[in-house]
Amino acid sequence: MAGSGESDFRGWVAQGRADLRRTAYLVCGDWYLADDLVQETLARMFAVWDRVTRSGPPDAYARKVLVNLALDHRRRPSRREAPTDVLPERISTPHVPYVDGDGPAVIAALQAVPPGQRAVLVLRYWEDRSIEETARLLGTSEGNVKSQASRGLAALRSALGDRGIVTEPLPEEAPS
Amino acid sequence: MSSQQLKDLFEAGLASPAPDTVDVDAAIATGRRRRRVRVGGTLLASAAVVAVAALLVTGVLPLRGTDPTGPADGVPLAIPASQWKDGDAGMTALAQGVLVLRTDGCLVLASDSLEMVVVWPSGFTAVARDGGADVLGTDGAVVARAGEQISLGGGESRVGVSGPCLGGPTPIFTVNDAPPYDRNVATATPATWTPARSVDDLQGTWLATELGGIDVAGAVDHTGSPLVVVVEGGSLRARDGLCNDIEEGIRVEEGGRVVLTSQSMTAGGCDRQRPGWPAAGVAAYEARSAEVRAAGGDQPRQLRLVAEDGTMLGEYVEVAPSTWSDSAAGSLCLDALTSGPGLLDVTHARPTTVAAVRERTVGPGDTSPAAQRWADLDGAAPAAWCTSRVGSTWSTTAVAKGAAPVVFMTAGTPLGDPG
Repeated sequence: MAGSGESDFRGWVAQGRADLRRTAYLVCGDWYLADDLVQETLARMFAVWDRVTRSGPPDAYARKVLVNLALDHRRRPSRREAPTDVLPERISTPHVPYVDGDGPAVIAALQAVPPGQRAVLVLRYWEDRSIEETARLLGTSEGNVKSQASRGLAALRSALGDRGIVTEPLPEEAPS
Repeated sequence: MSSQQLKDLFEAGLASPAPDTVDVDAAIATGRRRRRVRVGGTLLASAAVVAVAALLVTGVLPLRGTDPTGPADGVPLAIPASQWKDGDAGMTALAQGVLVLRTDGCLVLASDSLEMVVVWPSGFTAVARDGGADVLGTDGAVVARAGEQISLGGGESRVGVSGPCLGGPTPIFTVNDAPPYDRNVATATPATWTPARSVDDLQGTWLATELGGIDVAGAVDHTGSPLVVVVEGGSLRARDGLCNDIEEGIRVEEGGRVVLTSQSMTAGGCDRQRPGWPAAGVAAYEARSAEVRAAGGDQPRQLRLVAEDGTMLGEYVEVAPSTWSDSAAGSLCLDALTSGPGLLDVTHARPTTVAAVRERTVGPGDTSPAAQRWADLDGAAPAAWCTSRVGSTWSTTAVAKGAAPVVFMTAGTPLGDPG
């Protein structure tokens, strides 16, 4: 790769790495894993930098790589959580309105949403991507994005409630 | 709550970020190495396409679906199933891909980046059809067909699943979704992992990309040699990443069991190995079965070695072997620059003479011991120009028996034929 290509890449990384980390963290719920995912995303982006930048801005492609890596990571046998027949007991907490200090509980609730649905929620509501763009990034149909968003919002609402965070109605995403 | 308020909620989750540990330089180095591997893989894949096309034209390979050894239409096929049935609570993750019947009889959902064994709901069955398979629901109606692009709801749980195809390293996807499924005609069939049935399936030079769950793409061991496994004929050689070069006989028995026939190690000697370094040789040593994925898209052929319990020990990509062949120049380069199975490093070798090297690299005023050794040699003695790679550094080096190698040029990008 020519020096200018590497220089462009470094400039792009300097500008966008914080956003990539945040998106990765919301999808995976672990800052260290998020850094691993971003690092791998950058390696893959650099390997195809010339080709990607020839066809347009690289941000969307980077999101696609990042989210797919996060979903693939979940599917690896060595990194999969062990399923259990019996759910652990939860401490019953009174529902209280959402406050600033609820960050960890919010992330925990987000992690309770199935990975595919979570990816849709993060792309749609954190990154403000359209249904069409989200579908393109995830390699699925717009109908599926709507369906996943609808299910994901319901799961998130329930998970937030389980953790004592009361929300007003979440935005609705009508399934196709 | 509006979309903006939901965004604020996410923002709250991001309130206390951990320190940024992303190493951009390392990412660039990894990306650069992969770029080279991919270029090599593309060339290899192109060659494979041409070769397969030629074989098809000459009728040596049967087209899929016309294999006379495949089961006849309507013959039942065993498929893994869970206890889930329509109406039960279930997982809601979405999986999409092409349904492929592998040569080992396992139905998998495959894409270019992922492959999962599909575990069907309780009561589902499958039958052979047109060289592929039809999956039938509890009412006997076809709900899915091999070769289709399909979307399935469910998850990765193994609770209550049973049947064939579940013991290997391929992840599973348990369908918790009642038909009808979203089905379309697939535009292309992704390559799938196929168990090796003979040692012929394993022939090649394989560069490790993952060992013991650790990404080692582009890594080199303490000697600067890439972590490779080479299978040639009935022998296997591997750089173990520790202190040893492994040389074994290898065969694949009926049923796909990999057997190393002379269990021994040849000590290469080292004292600088990093603790915990993943060992390519150990993966080869412990492998009891192997799977190969055909080249496809921009991916070269891939290999994974699997332990007795189905755990994946190592994953590899096929790379072009060194072009040194067994020429005299190639042997000179290998003797002088590297040893063992790190042959991948020497990419070109061109014969020359000591006199020609002296003329190009050792000036008359050079009184260094290295120059003196070259000066002492017979000018007509054979020498060689070698192009080699150590890690991400390429070098052109002059070598001859009895003299220290002279590095003529180094670069961070590939160097070609020194001639």
